[in-house]
Amino acid sequence: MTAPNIVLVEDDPPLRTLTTRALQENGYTVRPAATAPEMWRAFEQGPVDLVLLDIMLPGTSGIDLCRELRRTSDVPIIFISAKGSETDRVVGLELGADDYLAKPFGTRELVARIRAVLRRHAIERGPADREKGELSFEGWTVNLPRRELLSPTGAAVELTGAEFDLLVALCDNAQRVIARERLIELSRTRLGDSSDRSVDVLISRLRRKLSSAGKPAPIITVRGVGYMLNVAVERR
Amino acid sequence: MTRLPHLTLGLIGRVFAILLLAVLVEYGASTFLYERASQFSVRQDEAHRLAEHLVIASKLIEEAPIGERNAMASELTTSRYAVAWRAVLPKSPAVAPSLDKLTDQVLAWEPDLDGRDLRLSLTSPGRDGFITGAFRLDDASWVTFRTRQPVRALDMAVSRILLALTPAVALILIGGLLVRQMLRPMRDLARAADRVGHGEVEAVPERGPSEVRDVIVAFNAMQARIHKLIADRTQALAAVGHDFRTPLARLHLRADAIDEDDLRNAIQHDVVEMNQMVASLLAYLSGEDEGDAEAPAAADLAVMCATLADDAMDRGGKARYHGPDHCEVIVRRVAMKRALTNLVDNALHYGKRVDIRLDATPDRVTIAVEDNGPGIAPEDRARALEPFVRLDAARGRDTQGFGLGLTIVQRAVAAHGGEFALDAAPSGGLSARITLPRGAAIVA
Repeated sequence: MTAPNIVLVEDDPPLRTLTTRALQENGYTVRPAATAPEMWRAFEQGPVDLVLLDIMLPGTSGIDLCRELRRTSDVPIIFISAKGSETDRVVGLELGADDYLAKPFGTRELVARIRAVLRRHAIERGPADREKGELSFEGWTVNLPRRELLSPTGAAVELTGAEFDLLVALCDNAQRVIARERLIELSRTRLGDSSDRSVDVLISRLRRKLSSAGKPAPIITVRGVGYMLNVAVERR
Repeated sequence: MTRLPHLTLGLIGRVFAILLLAVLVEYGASTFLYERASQFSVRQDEAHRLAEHLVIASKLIEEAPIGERNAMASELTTSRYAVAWRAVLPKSPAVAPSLDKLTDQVLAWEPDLDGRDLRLSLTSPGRDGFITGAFRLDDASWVTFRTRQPVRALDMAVSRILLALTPAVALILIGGLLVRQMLRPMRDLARAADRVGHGEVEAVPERGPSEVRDVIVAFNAMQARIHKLIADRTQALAAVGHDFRTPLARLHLRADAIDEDDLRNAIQHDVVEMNQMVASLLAYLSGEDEGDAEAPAAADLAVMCATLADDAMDRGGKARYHGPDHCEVIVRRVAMKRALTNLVDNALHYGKRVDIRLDATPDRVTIAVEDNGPGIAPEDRARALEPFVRLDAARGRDTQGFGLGLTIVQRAVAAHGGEFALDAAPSGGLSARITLPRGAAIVA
């Protein structure tokens, strides 16, 4: 596989240089851009596998740019922002960004996020998947872009990153048994942030958080093989 | 703004208007009282007896020579009526409502009395009421008389006292209400002044007397200026905070190129710490900024606490959640999560272990975050909640950040109408306790 092509849109010159260098050292081909017009020019120069986009650009805001980009292209986008609040993160993800990276970031975190997004993009079948942003089962609602779980009564239920990824993996394979090893792998491809907790611990936590009114969570253990979400999942 | 000068009365104008109204009410009530007395009537036979007695008295006294008229009058005085002869009509007492209806009754029975200028009135020297009256003789002298036994004494007395009191009570009530109404804009103003600086700009409606209006206009302008000042400051600080992150990102990436591990790690640690300071500053500012216009929604606080403990464990800390599996409360989720995260981070920083306990009753939820660290001395606890205060010496360890963590917690809890308190934990460390009312209105 050839080196992935990344377009980096960042208005701060030193940071642009530093980020470019860090990415090149990790085997990526980088086309840096300082403004929106430069970004469109970078797109004309060849294929683009991923866009790293600073939200606060002079002239056009990164949010507008992202919206424009999404209209024509399905390229993975990672937002970079100095804001880093939960609201900004949600806005970015709802606009169709694939991930959100808060400043300041180190090389390791940057590369891990890019890798995770690229891998996820290769696995998912296409843009249609991303648009279907909601999964639901037995009254529970999983909002994918917001990474939010709502209980049957509509209350927000907080999960750790790893737990959320595991739940999504279970939903994606609803009513099928998934091997433990496969679950570990699946949950790691969705997020760069891998947890050292074993899948069994994560499952037991999920069960507790997904129980409702004395009813156990619909996650069953298949001895010696793995786990299964034994209810139908609806996609919206 | 446009004002209608002819519609606004000054304070003095209003006081005069109230007095005028009071006088009108008094006048109206007295008129009513006298009107009622004139309708006073006695039983028919009593009226007849009185009429007959008066006719006899008129005839006998008129026939008697002037010198004997007094003696005749005292002869005519019975156990019922006292009669006297006067050359001129004595003045009637001040409060003596005339009895028009009774007069009609008497005249109807004895038309002879018509033309004698009969006047009957009700007097009440004590609590009892007596009928007194006079009529003119042909030679323009007068016969006066009064009943010697009280007429319907108690009934009339009480009802007349009540009637006399009514205007006074009405005056007090109406006057009080009007003055209260007049001063209401002042109370609104005081309440608004009390709230300046806490949350939104609340323009006080411009109403009331013109003097008060002027004060309200000036107050609203001042309030707007203060809020603009605060907003400008907040925005400037937030912008600085955001701008800090770009150089921090540069520093972080530059440090990645350092080969010497210790130095690189130390610099990166510094970057992380500086970023945490910026984050806490921004979180603190967002409390007064538009940033926290988060709408309250149902959230499962029990799961939130459990997840915070799980997260802390995943990061290598020792954290446990104790409490029910679920507890749904209407909260601002992001603000509440930030508050709880601050408490858990603090607990892990100062102690080796953190216990999160949630206790729910139908009307309140209590969340206690306990650590086994050195705790905070009782005298320092109030100070620990103030912004930019760090209790370095007291807690014996280097402190991170600006000293905003607990302030952010307190503000978030207060916005939910709850209480935040610091205490000693059973294990000796600090216990930070949040108490939230369930289903209470959340302050903007």
